Amino acid sequence: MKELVENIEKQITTDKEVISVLPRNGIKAIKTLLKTISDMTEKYENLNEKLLKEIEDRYTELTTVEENKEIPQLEQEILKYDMAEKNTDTRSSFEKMGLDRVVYNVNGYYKSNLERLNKELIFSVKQFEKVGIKLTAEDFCISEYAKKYMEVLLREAYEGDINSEAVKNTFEKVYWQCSEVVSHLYVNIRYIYDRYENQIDKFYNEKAQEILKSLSLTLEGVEEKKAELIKQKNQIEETDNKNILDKFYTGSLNINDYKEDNYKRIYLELTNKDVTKLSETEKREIDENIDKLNTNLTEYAKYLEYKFLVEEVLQTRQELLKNAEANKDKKVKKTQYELIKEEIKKLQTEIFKLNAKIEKPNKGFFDRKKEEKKDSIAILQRNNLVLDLKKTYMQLDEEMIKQKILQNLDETSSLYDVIKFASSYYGYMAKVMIKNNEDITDKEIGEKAEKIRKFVNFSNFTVINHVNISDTKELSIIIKDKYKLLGMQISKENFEEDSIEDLIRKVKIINNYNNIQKSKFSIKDLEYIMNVKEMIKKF
Amino acid sequence: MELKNIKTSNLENDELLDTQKQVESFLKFLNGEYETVKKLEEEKS
Repeated sequence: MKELVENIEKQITTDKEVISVLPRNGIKAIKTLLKTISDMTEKYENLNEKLLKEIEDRYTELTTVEENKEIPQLEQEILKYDMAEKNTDTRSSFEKMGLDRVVYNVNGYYKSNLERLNKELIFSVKQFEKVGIKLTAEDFCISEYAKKYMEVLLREAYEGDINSEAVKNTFEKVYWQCSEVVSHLYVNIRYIYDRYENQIDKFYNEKAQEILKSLSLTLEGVEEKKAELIKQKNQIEETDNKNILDKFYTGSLNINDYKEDNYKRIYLELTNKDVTKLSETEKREIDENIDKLNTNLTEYAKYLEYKFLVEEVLQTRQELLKNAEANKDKKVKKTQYELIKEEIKKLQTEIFKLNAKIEKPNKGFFDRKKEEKKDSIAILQRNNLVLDLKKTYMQLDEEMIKQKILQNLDETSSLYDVIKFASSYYGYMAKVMIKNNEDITDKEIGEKAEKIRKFVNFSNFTVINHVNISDTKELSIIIKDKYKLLGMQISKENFEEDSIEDLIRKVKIINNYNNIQKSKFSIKDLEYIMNVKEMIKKF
Repeated sequence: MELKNIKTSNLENDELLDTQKQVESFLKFLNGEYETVKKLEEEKS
């Protein structure tokens, strides 16, 4: 301890003694004592103020950090290439427009609420507008109920309130006329898409060409560029002062994990090396491997969360291949997908024929009763057909996924290709999530789907993009073997369900510690900041 | 040692925090003592 600190301590001890030895037996002595205490208090209060000011100044100086300006710039660039990828990738226009999510949510309305339904309906209208198709209530012609509801919803949306009383009242009215009105709306969105599919495909094809031309890249080039940018951003973020500080502030990092002794102990445990005895070159080499292991483990842990999706796709693919093998000698004129498409067209034609009949004005006064009876029968028939059409669309989705699995995935596909594939189809993802956890809510499905898509679209993949679906070796073994060769002390047991989190935590501590050394902070600075932060809380 | 001449900028971060804690705790002691002696004064007068 420094002399100055010792002197302050000594002074406090001396002053304490002075107070205790001063007499307090007479009124005069008491007055003298009170004066001494007051003088002393004043002096120490001044010192305390000085100390607090110094604490505050140092805290402000240490914590006044700005995010590296390159980070938001890279984020913008990443979004630009992500948008380019989304507009040019191999998904169908239906998914590119986000209608896969809309139809899933519209279909699941009964579990959700009217406000969410309205939001999705207006979203779909806007998406059609983005591809050059301006929809009006006339386009919702599958039934008079769908049309009536959309007439009011579009009008109110234009006025800025999609959940107005008028919308609620109209829904109430059409619902009691036809309790399947939401199914009608679902079918109608799908019908509108079918009707304009060629036009929408053309829009995306032209847009894709335009984007790729402006970037002078192919789709693969766009994907590579985006991955490179994500890698760059991650690297900058790891040593970014603000990012490091925020992690401690938010509690995602705990300062106690970063005490030197803890670092040395974990370092030894993971590498079998005493960090204090390593040469600079040795340490740099080991630290680089720890950094890579950290990236691999983070990806692996995320992958484990969503592995159920990959497993489901691969299982379906196996079954499809088995069926195809069993039926290879059978001559098939049309695929199941084509047959369902035909069935959809047929149902649509029948529905519109009946609609024409329903909308035809009544002939005369005396025939009115007869006509009304006929209309009711036609409405009933049409409503049943709308429900059949809904079922057929759902069959089409199932068949489409099967067809796409066979078209897009083969033995050379990577685990990344599979998870990217699954994440492209909202309805499919939702179905697999429900299979995996039947208690999951629509809201949770939405949140999880967003997380999966974020993982797929904004990660710098280094493991699952290199492992083929035909690889028989477990992913954990592949990672373990690689780092074992590089001298890391990790075993198969570290990857077991109840140990993996601990391994990830330890690797993260070492990697974060190394990154902190590259920032403006020392561990002591961060300890100071966190101590002062605690002090501020108490004030 | 004159307290007012202490250069706080010469203290390390951890020393600064420790010293402030000590001073704060001594101030609490002084406040307590003042209260006690004040009561004593009231009793005597």
